[in-house]
Amino acid sequence: MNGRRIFGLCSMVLVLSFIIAACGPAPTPEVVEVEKEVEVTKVVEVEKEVEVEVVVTATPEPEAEAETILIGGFGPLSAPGSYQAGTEMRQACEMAVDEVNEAGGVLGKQVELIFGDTEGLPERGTAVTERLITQNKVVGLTGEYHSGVGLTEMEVAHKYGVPVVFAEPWADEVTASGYPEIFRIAPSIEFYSSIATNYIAAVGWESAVFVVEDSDYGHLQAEEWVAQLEEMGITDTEVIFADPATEDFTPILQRIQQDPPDMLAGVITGVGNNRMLRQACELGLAPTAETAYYASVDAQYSDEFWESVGDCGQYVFFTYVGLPEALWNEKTGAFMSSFEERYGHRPGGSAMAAYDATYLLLEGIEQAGSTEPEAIIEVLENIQYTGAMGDFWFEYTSDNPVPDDEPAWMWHQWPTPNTYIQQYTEVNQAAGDANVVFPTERATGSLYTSP
Amino acid sequence: MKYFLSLCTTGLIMGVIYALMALGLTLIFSILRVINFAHGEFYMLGGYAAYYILGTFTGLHPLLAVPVAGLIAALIGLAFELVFLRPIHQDRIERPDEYAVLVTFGLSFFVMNLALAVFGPYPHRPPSFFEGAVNLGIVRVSADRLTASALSLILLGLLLLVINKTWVGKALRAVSQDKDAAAVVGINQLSMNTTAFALGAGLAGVAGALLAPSFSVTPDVGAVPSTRSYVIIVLGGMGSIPGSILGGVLIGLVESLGAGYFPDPSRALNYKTVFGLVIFALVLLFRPTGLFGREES
Repeated sequence: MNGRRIFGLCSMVLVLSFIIAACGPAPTPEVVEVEKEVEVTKVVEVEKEVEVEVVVTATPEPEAEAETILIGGFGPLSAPGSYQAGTEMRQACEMAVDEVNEAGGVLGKQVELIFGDTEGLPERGTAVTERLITQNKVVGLTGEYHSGVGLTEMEVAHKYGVPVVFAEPWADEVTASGYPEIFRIAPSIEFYSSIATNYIAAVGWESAVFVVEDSDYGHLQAEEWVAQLEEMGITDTEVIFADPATEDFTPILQRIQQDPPDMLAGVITGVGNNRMLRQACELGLAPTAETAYYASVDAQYSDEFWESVGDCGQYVFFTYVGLPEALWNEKTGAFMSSFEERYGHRPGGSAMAAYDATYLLLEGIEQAGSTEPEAIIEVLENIQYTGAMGDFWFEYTSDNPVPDDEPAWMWHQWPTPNTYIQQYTEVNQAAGDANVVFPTERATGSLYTSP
Repeated sequence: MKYFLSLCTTGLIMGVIYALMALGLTLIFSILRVINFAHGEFYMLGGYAAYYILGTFTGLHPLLAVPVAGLIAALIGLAFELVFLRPIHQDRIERPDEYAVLVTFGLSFFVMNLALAVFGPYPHRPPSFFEGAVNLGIVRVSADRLTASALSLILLGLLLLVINKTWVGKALRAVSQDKDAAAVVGINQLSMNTTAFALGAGLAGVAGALLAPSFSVTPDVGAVPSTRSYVIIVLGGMGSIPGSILGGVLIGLVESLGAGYFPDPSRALNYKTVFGLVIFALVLLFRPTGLFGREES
């Protein structure tokens, strides 16, 4: 084999790798055939002298009618994004679209989902959204996991006036922007944080250390927690930033161990969450009788969680966004069993949110009777829809602006996103069996069970 | 004092494991004169191999999966070297340096994304070697990490023995010093290249299998250790085996002590990698060839 063939083979390997790494198949451009009809009138001689105006007109081109309705999805499907959550979200969106198509589609047409990989990078989010809107001509967008990426995506959607139903970005600015196109069913950071901070105060902890990921989400989350805790009189707090890809937390955990707090929080999406918990446990830092451990939302993926942390997961508490099993409605049960059957994996809250966000968008198109953005937005503003996560509506809209005494992020925000604190009290406990411990009116177990 | 000693212990434990992975990269460079940009992916494959071996043979002790994982990584490395890198040393490639970068980067992308497609996005963790933690007097260390470090130390010792006392080791050293002279005395350079690459990939695979119980495995788990290995081999001196060992230990210590004593605790963990890079820059300032590197003639 000569050098050129080798080089060609290597180039093929490289190209193949890029193909595999590509974020998804590009849709085949639709070819529409247009027939032009021209009507010609003839002059006819008559007995009477009559002046007849001869007009030759061309019949207007018939509008090319799309066979399918294209919607766009976005989220992290590869590193450095949280591709675990992003992959589940894509799967949930695809499942929603398939279900709708099996039921007859929307406006009598089949729906096609084009999901873009944002890699968890804001600049990729911008590029993906531009492509979905300008090249793929999607009529609406849904999904996204990372706040930092959502903030850039919404700017592009706003520029083109395309409606977006965000499933997961929590940054307050997403809806505080007041953009007419942007809707969100996930909690805002302020709301999400209030559940955890009120829980901390209810248990009576007085000191906390937060190890948070060094991202937009992590910074905003940390700032909110510290601010809320300070308002409650809990001022002994410390924030430590960590790259989400950090493997070894031991040096900083040893540092924390010099003055152990009442609560140690690991706020890192993805595998970092489990790594930190295991290392804290192995050092004897947390979870212990002296120091409680608060895990990030990834603790809800109970199979991977217990595989990674083993016995260290007992007594860990975490925030769950979604409906705990005790509060499931009919659609929740159907979603959970269908997803598990289809993908062989129990879905997390992000998947449920993506599923409902997709349904909301499609419901908006159906009720609007049109794919025009303004019509969809108007319908979404007034929608009442029951999904797997509960009853959706948007309280503050163009007809009912956000009053001054409400936070700006309430604009186009689902006002009651289900957010709970759950605690694992047994080793290898399924997330669905973990007690809801806060808010107390929904609790199914003790406020906090200590080791 | 106790705090200082505990940080040093942590740093030494990790440093030995860093050294093992970097040694693989050094071997490859010193013999083939190629930087293997897919080194992190062999680390990742070793971790997955350990996970799936133990998942299939559930009665197997986790320690026994480590050499098997290393062997699997070595075989993949061997195949890769034979197909893609051997032509360089057969003078069949017009621009060998650019080609080597292209092909190893390509392998890195290909393997990482293939792993994502095949193994899925969820993290996996093989069973612990030994559960719990060990109290070493002043410091408490995870049993898994201590085991990984001890095995790495043994492997490093064995490797040094092979390099210095066996015929294969002497042949490898001969090729790394002067491939033409080695050829004159009858050493087949192509065979040594394949041996070195397979050995290097195998060492990365072993490191991945050793650390998988501590850090779990994901398709991109090799990125950070890979980058660290590049720093270590340059710090220690390109192609120097003692340099890689010392460089690995030094980086492990500096990272641990830096994170433990940096004045701003909120940034200490984020800057952990930076501390090693600062040392790296300082060493190169005074010794441009690294700690044990030799100047090119």
